Amino acid sequence: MKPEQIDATLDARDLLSPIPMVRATRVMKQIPTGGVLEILVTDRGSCIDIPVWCKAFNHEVLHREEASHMYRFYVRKG
Amino acid sequence: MFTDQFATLSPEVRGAVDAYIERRLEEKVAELARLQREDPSSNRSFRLLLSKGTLDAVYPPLMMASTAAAMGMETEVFCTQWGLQLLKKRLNLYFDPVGNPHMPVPLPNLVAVMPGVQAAATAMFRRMVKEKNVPSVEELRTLCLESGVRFTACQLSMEVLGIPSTDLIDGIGFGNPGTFVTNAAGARIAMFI
Repeated sequence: MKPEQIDATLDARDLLSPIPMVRATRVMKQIPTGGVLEILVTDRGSCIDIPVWCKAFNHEVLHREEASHMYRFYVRKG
Repeated sequence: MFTDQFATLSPEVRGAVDAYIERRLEEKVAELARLQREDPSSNRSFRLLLSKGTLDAVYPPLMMASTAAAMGMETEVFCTQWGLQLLKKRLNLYFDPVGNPHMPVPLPNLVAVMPGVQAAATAMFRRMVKEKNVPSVEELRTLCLESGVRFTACQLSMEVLGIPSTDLIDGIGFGNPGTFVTNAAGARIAMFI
């Protein structure tokens, strides 16, 4: 389900794995628990990484979209 | 005292108690294992031993280390022998085409040893990496340091190879093989690259 409110957006387009994850970890620190982070990636490898990364931190993937070679993730901080 | 009382019980009761304890113990062990698996803070450490210092060889450890740190693991890269090149202030890494059967353009060793071929191969590798938008070694190293990856220089290798600590970047640790082995023994993941 697409969340209504987003606390932060991380534009990680054109970056290859593991950079989007490294950046996301950094941005997540600024967000309170329960907050939502929007992540934009173009790297297919990161699409596999992000759910794994969420599992490691107990974050929750609320919604994901795919449009013209771009992937959009909404992640709730756990 | 309890064992004395237990011995006086009938064999049926004792058997039932034993069976109950065994079942509960199994459940408890499984529950503890699950809790430990799910707890992100439980001993999630990653120790890498890097002993190579060519341009292509330092990419995997940097990628692995930055990923592990991003996954919230306590990460250390122990650099020994040629791996110390990665910690130098002035990075001077080369791609070695000699004895490399996986060159994009197959190159006989007789050609690979010619002057200038190594420099050309290094330039080719750097270009390939840049075209794919992969960060340079310098950038990845900075990224690792910023993400909390701990780099440790092997003191013994520094002495053998004559590398003074002033040649190495700031913010790293120093250790000996014993340090690494002790840390690796308690780590969840330890690997050699």
